[in-house]
Amino acid sequence: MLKRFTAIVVILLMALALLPAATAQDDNFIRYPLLNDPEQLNPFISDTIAVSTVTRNIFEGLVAYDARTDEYNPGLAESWTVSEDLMTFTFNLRQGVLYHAIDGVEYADGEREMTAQDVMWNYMTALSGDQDVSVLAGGLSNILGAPEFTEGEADSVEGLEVIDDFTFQITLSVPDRRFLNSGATLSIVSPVAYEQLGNDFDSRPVGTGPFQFVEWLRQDRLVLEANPDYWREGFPRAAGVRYINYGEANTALLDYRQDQLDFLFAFPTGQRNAIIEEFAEDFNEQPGLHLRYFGFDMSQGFFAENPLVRQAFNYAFDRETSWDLLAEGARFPANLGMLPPAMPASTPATIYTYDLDRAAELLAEAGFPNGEGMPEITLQVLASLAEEPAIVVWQNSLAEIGVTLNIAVEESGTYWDNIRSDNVILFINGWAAGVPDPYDVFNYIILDGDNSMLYDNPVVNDLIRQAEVELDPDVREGIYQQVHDIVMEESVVVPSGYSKVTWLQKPWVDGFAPGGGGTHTAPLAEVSLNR
Amino acid sequence: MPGDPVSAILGEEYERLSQETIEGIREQLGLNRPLHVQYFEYLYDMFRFDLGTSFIHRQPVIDIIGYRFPRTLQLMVGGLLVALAIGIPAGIISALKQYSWVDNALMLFALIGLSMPVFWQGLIAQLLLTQDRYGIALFPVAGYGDGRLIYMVLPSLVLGTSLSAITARVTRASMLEVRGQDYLKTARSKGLHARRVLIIHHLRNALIPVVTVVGLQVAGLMTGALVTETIFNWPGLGRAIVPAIQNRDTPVMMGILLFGAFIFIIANLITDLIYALLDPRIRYS
Repeated sequence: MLKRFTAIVVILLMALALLPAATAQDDNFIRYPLLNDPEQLNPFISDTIAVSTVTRNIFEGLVAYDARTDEYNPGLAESWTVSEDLMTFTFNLRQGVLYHAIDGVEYADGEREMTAQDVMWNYMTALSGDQDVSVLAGGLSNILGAPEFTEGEADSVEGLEVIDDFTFQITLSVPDRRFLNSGATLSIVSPVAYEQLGNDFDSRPVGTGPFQFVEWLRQDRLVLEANPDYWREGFPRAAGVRYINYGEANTALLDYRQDQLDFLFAFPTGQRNAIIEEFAEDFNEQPGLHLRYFGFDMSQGFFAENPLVRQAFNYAFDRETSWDLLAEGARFPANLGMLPPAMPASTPATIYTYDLDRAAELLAEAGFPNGEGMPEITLQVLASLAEEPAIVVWQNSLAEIGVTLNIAVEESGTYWDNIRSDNVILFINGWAAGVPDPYDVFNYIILDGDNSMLYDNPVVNDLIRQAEVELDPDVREGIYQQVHDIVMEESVVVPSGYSKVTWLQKPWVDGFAPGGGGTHTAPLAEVSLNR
Repeated sequence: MPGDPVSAILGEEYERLSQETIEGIREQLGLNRPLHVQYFEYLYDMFRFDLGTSFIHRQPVIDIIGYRFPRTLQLMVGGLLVALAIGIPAGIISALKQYSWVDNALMLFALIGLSMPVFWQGLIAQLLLTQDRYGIALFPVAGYGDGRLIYMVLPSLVLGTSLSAITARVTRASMLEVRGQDYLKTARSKGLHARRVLIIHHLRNALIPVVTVVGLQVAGLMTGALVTETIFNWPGLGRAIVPAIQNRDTPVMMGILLFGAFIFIIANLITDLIYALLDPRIRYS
């Protein structure tokens, strides 16, 4: 009996061994790992990194922002003119651009070609006041007449005009030097497909971009293939993209090691140096535009009333130990201020280098010598960031000067709720600028008390508004320099780390070039594979 | 469940949008209504097999379950087969060779199998059986592979190991208990072949406690499948409920929990029916 059973087990194991293990697929598809599945693929509804990683290869805007050069290139508009007052933008659309032909969408004669009427439909849809249709209206509210349309007080948008089939004009209510980025990169979708697919459009997107949708098995894989009718000659270079979803960074690493992936973007915690050593030839790194910081509640509570304590907390943070040593160089220590070094005005007048003696002096000056009389402080931490060594490093340094820092870890839903509430006065946070422009940091983080710190300084608000319409780059940089000096002097945040855009790519990959915003900004149309 | 789904859905985007927009989204999702109204509406819809729509993916929950459950079931069946294929023979051999080195070795393995957390087993199995660097790359690292059998082997092995350990121990104990029964002596004295006595008389009577334990472990298989699915990138219910909990996607979370409870009841029913098959003395009137 025992012998027979052993024989069966051996035969079974041999049979399993003979089953073909997965081999590297030799088709010309880019194999791209995703750690977060996109929520959906409708560009009007949301534009998280997970969504835009995919949709930026399916849809195009009138202009194409090149994150690597910080320049605007022709997209669906082959040229454009901007009036001197920065309020009127006229786009000459490219002729012969066809929407993707995918299963389930039928075009009548002429409906497949993108026209100015389609562009008008897209802007009107984006400006819809129905949150189920679009959440983009706020970002386009400086188009003349847009707020009235969104509120349902007007049937059309005064600032949108179809001049002819291939000329489209947008007029703003206020000058905006950044409109090409914020307004003219709107993803243009096929109105016919949108109408025909209804709710299915969320998971079957149709645009004009270099790749077109094939299939999406949620949290498994999402496949795009090359658009055979793409207007840009010779692109895309690959036959398609196969996004593979991983629940664990470690699983993606194992697949990368077995040549089942062309890229690896997220490194498992604690393995960074080992991975760099193992894959030295494949490793790439460049400065990013994301800032990790600790924010104070500036509207009320202990920190709002004690600016010297805020400064003391800034001096008590050892950024080098946190990032260079313990986090194995995962970020650059944020030694300057709120702006990543790639941006203008990135060096403020007040810089907080690690100095515990100075921190102790400031605490004493604030009336808390050796931390006496200080309340215990609770730092609110997002669960996904709880492993960052910076938190414990800061906690230990503060303990040395008599400050007790407690850590409260919360999942995202509770965390985002809590950080604006009165009882959370210190929290960890982060911000990713899309472009190397201080606008993209200051306007979102500190203007009008509209962010988590609820910082509302009229002088700073005015300066930021001046910079919005200032065309001279030198003058603008001077204004941002003043803003940066003020907010760092006031110690509104404790900057922690500036991101690095880091990834592995196989030797056979060519043309992958992301910008500072992250690896997802790399145009995959330019990627070629020589496996 | 604390937390605002809207802030979880939007994440960093929450900071960019105006309060008016956020309130608009809350209204669209029906979250601005009183809790008791939301609850009774949910119950009403549930009895019409409408489990709502995912806040995040904007897909009907019933579709999400319909797509994912067959994949989780596939994994559960795979795990169960592994558990039975290893556990029952190991239990029988252990019982037949009681107190021998074979018995001790098998029970030690069972103890180790029972003690190892599923996620750890998964990681070790991946390192040893999918990586040329650490072992031999016999199997794919992860993924569903369009349902190809090779993709199922490793997750099933990992999922089935713990259950096989329990099965082996219960089978052994049950076999030993039945061993001294008179009907076995009668069967042997009638001159029946030893294998026939073992399978028809001995094992069959010993299986009832095993079926009970295995039936109750179906819930454990489902929970184990949640972890296994994450490690092996398997697109089942586990990979839907974990992000749903993190993102406060209440309809998906509640739908999958309800469905899990339903599966548990069905598994218990099947267990009861198997009793009757194994032992004709057990009948339900």
